[in-house]
Amino acid sequence: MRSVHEPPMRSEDDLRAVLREMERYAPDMDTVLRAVREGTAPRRGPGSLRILAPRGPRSPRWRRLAGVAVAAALAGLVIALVPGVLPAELGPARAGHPSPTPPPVAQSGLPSAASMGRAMLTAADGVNGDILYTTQTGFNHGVMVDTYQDWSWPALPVTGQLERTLNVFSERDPTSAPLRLTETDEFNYIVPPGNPNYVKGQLTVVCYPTLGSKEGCGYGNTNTPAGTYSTWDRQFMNPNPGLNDLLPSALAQEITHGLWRVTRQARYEGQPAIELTQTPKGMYRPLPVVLWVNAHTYLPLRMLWGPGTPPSAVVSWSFLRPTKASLALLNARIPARYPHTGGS
Amino acid sequence: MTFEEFVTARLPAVLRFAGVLTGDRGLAEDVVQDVLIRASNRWQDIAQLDRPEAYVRKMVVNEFLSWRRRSWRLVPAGTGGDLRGPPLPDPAAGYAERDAMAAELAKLPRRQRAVLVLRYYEGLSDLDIAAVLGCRPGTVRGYASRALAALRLEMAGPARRPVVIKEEG
Repeated sequence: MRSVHEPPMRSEDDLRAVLREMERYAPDMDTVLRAVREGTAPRRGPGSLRILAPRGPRSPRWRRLAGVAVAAALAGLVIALVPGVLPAELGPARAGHPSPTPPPVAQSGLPSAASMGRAMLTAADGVNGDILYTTQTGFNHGVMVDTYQDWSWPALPVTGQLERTLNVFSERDPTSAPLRLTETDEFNYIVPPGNPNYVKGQLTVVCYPTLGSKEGCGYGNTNTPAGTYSTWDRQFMNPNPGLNDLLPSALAQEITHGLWRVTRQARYEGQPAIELTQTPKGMYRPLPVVLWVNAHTYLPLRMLWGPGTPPSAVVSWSFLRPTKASLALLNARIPARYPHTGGS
Repeated sequence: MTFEEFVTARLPAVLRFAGVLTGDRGLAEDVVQDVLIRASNRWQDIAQLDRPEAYVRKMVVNEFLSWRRRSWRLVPAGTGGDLRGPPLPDPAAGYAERDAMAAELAKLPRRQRAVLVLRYYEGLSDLDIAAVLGCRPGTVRGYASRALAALRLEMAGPARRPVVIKEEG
């Protein structure tokens, strides 16, 4: 018997109606045709902030000033969510973030969005050469359903630099309580000049036998059966890390461009933080999205995406020094008994 | 049919399809641009097919499925404030429910989402969807049932043949 508190079931017609309404996400025909005529489709990663122009390569400025060890605490929190990955495996989190000049504070005790954005941009420059570690954890009706863990080093590479990335996807089977490791993708490539659609890179896919990977795992047009791994050396879509909207610099620009307002001072996991919410120009509206930024380092801490407690998704950031131990995290781990099933 | 004729006659429908499939205008734009560039280079071959548009849509689906997953969750797919349909008896509840459903759609794995779009938006049979995705019809049904369960969607009846809701072109 269904509980009175259970949400009502939906019909197929409801789904059709929602899909029809989504026609309004159709792109502008002239824009598409212009790009096609020029033969250069602009690359933007999914989720990238479309009002910003693609960022060019930037030189990481290494500034290692004293700061607070927020990233370590954050990493511990994040990893506690995902079984099978121990905090010790993360390696040393960046304790010495650059501590940019604090933004001017108004009478309200809060910095303006513009000055906050500038401070964050300075802070972001200081960690461009670090390993950026983000997690995106999804919830469905309060239940954690999946987690994406992404490592990339350098966080914002320059042309000609080797970019190493590792994406680990874990999801919860409907029949199992804990998250289960589903797919690991290690992708390494040299950042090409310009902004081509495709880059040559080396890919390793490890596909674990879970419900979600029953039909195998895929990255690009590769396919890896569950319970196996594959390695590939070929052209893939340009991941273009500079367009990742989880980069601290991208968030800083969003704030500078008026997409976020500084709401209040807060504490996050015991650390002083500054809370920001979307302005009417915010890209996620009407969904409520809250961003917390470390009040000392001006690096992002956490983003809550969507309504409810917990919300639909939680994003967390850590920045790791590129030590030998932490760089080892960027290697896909291949279970001993997994056969190699494909690749080129 | 020349490439230009195809673009004139069929591109609007392809763009709408891409918008529904991705739930994100920017991503749809990128996907279609990539596909059209490749299609224009191979148009002589594609034009020989019975249904060039179906092939281009297949290219759009494949491009969408192969798009890198990074930051996918952050795409505000189907949750925009402009998602407003015709008036409902209880507007507030109706809007919230549609927003919620669109948000849940955005969280589905891409193959599941593609199956739903092909089945309920394009009106394709499971056999046709299997041809587009390059898998077995049973696999399509598996994707669909998981996706529908995630969306808490109750089937209208035993017949799962979808109703075609949209004429092409």
